[in-house]
Amino acid sequence: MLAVLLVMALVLTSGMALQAAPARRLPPGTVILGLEGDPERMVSTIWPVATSRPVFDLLYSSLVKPNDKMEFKADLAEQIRFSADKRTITFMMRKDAKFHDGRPVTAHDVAFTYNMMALPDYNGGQDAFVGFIEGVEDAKAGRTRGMAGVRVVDDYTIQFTTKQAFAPVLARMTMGILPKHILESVPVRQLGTHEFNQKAITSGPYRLVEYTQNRQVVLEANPAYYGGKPKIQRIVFRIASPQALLAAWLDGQLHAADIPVSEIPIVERSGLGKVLSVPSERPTYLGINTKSVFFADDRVRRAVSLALNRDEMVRVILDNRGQAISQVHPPQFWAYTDQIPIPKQDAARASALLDEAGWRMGPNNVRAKDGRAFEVDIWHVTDRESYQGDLAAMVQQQLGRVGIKLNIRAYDSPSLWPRVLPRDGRIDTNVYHIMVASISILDGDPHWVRTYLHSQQLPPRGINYMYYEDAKMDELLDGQALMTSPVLRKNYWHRVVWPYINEKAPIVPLIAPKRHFAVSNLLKGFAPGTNSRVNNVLNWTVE
Amino acid sequence: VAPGLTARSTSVAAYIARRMLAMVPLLVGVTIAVFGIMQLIPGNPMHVLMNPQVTDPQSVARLEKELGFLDPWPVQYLRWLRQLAAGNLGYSYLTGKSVGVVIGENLPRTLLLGSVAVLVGFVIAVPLGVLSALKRYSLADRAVTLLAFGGISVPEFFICMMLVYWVSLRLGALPPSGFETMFSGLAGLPLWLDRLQHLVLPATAIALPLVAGVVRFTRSAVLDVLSEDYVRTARAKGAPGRTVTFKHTLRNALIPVITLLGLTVPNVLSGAFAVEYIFDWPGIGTLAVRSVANREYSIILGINLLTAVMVMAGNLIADVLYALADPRIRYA
Repeated sequence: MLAVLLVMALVLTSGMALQAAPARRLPPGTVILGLEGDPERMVSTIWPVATSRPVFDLLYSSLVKPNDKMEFKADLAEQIRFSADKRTITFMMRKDAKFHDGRPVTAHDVAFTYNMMALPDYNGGQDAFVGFIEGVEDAKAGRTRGMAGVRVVDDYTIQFTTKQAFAPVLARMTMGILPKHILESVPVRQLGTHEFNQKAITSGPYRLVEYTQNRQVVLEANPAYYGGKPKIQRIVFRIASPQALLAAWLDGQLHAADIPVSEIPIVERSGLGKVLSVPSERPTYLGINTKSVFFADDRVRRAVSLALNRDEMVRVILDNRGQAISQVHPPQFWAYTDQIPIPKQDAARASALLDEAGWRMGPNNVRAKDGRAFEVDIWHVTDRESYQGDLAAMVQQQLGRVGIKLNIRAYDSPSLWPRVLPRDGRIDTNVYHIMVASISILDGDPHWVRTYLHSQQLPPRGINYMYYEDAKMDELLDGQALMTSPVLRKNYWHRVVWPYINEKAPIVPLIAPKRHFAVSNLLKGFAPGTNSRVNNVLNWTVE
Repeated sequence: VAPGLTARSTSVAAYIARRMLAMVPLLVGVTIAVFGIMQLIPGNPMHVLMNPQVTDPQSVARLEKELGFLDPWPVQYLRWLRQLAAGNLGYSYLTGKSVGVVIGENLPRTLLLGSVAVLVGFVIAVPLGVLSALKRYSLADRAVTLLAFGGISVPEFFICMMLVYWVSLRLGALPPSGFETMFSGLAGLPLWLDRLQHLVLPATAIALPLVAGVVRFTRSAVLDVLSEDYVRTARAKGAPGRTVTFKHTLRNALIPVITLLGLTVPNVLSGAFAVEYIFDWPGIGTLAVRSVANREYSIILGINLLTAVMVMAGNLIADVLYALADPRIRYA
């Protein structure tokens, strides 16, 4: 039957199939990239999803943009000046930037974009982009029109004043700038569904031509782009599952697609292109419930860290395409340091710490304390890195050697959040015990740690799902945010903050993977960075 | 019009009306069940949207309250039912688009895929089933039986992967995914031929298990009829073999196959989720898989409602066709 159907199909379509060689399927002047999820919306300030990032990188411009080391460089801003107390930042903007409808991008547009996120009706989830600006509470409460800390000095000069010195301020100046003249009259609640999502007018190197949900996003080069006209006339993002994108790439329908490490050999054997690997911005770690009866003692958490063999994880799970880490941070970014050694597996020391904490080895090689066996669940998510399940299994195996028995439980992320972040703030100390997790550190700043480990961030106010409370940790995390000298701040993280986090071990660093792209021989100059796969789009050419 | 025919038409219409009325409570039951099951899944669209590093959890909580996610589920259900009574299936939480529009955009492609698969499946399966029965225990029968059991046993996703790997990637004969070639510049007949190329693999993946089932069903139905007294009588009377086969055997044996056709059509719609997703076919199946991952409750409910309606309609059509084909059956 299969043969009958296939013969029918081949007879019907053979003529066209023979012509459909990979090189000829792709239209000239066009680059087709894979996109693993739908962008959903095109308004930069309204619930942008992770998969929309490459699309937004091409559509939008912002005051500053990060380079590959996550140092922030001027984009719309030509000059950046800090006041002596570092609370006021003035951006002198370039005058040749234009929206795709020809109108200039001005300081009014910047003020409009940022003030939008402080409107009483705003509910677009980008709260951290304005939370540090003076007057945000008054604006959100409707007491003032706009934030006092956002001031248009003139058409091309904008000034931000923060509540106090705020070290990661430039990381918050990356929001895509929206056109005031188009969106000013649109109620903020309607922006998510406004026609702008189909016909976005932005000021980046490409303009939106078509967005068909769950199918494709079509962009065309912006000839008036201030950074120079892109050589590629049209970029298309094809939206599909990773498996379908890989199959499409192997069939010659795509120029580049993100692929999991397991598929690298297939791509390399195909002869259609090569694999480019770049460090990922998503380190993997163990998040530990510090209120759990099993892990409340920091000696136990340190024992967990010591019992792990990270090199084995890198070798077996990442196929040596990644590295072990000693801080939960992408190793290629400035906040990471090689001076903190990666903990070597030391089962003897881990066992000694567990003994010290009262967890004695019991029958069946499982530790016990006060009649309670050390047997807990380890969680991992199913909708992020495909290797998380394997990693959970390896942690299970390695901790098993020191007498900690783990049972693996898998969830998707939306199931996980409501479990670990109770709305009423009443933490169930046994809701979970330990989980494999990863975090996307797109702005490259270690300030994210504050949102995960500061006691002010305990549910329901924040996302400290380690339920970690420690006055010294709070002090360190508050202190680093005030340090406006990059050099001092870097040293502070390297010498004080990371060592303290590792000592208390509410989060245990594991591995930093790489991201892999299958790139067609037809696409030249494609050099994805950690923070963006399209960062050097102006250099691309296509055959 | 003959009085007998008019009476029969009236009887059919009354029967259909009664069955349609009976569908209403059944549909309500289905939606209650689906709504209840969805509530058991933790998380909602806000948890899909939130970016822990920049989203204030209290903003999420506020939005959850505004959108009614925190209401008891019977309250949420009644709200949805009220909306439905006004002809509105609701809106996507993520894009704000009307669920009716979203389903309407995707449904035609699923119907195209499903109808081609069913049509091809039945066109191949019925003759094979008949052949298998008429040549019982022959080499052909054994071969067909073996293939049928193979088709029934192999999981759909495995068939999909094998088709992609061998037919598309190894042979390079057909595209592995998508609905049409992007920016091909084709129009008219060449465009439809291009779409046909894209259709072949997913349609085959749906048709194969279907063919396997229908072959076995047809074979069994034909064998049953072949052992009937009237077939033996026809043969004893010296009726030619073709007459016995086509007039006496097939006409009767294919009546249950018609029923099977009616029951199969909606199953193809609801059963093509994995196939559509793997082949990146932009239809209801792909939409359903993404909606479940995104906790798009209104879209999931809309698709379930549509599927339930189609299953019930398929049953009704099968019953009506069955009765029309067999005059001994009366509408009650």
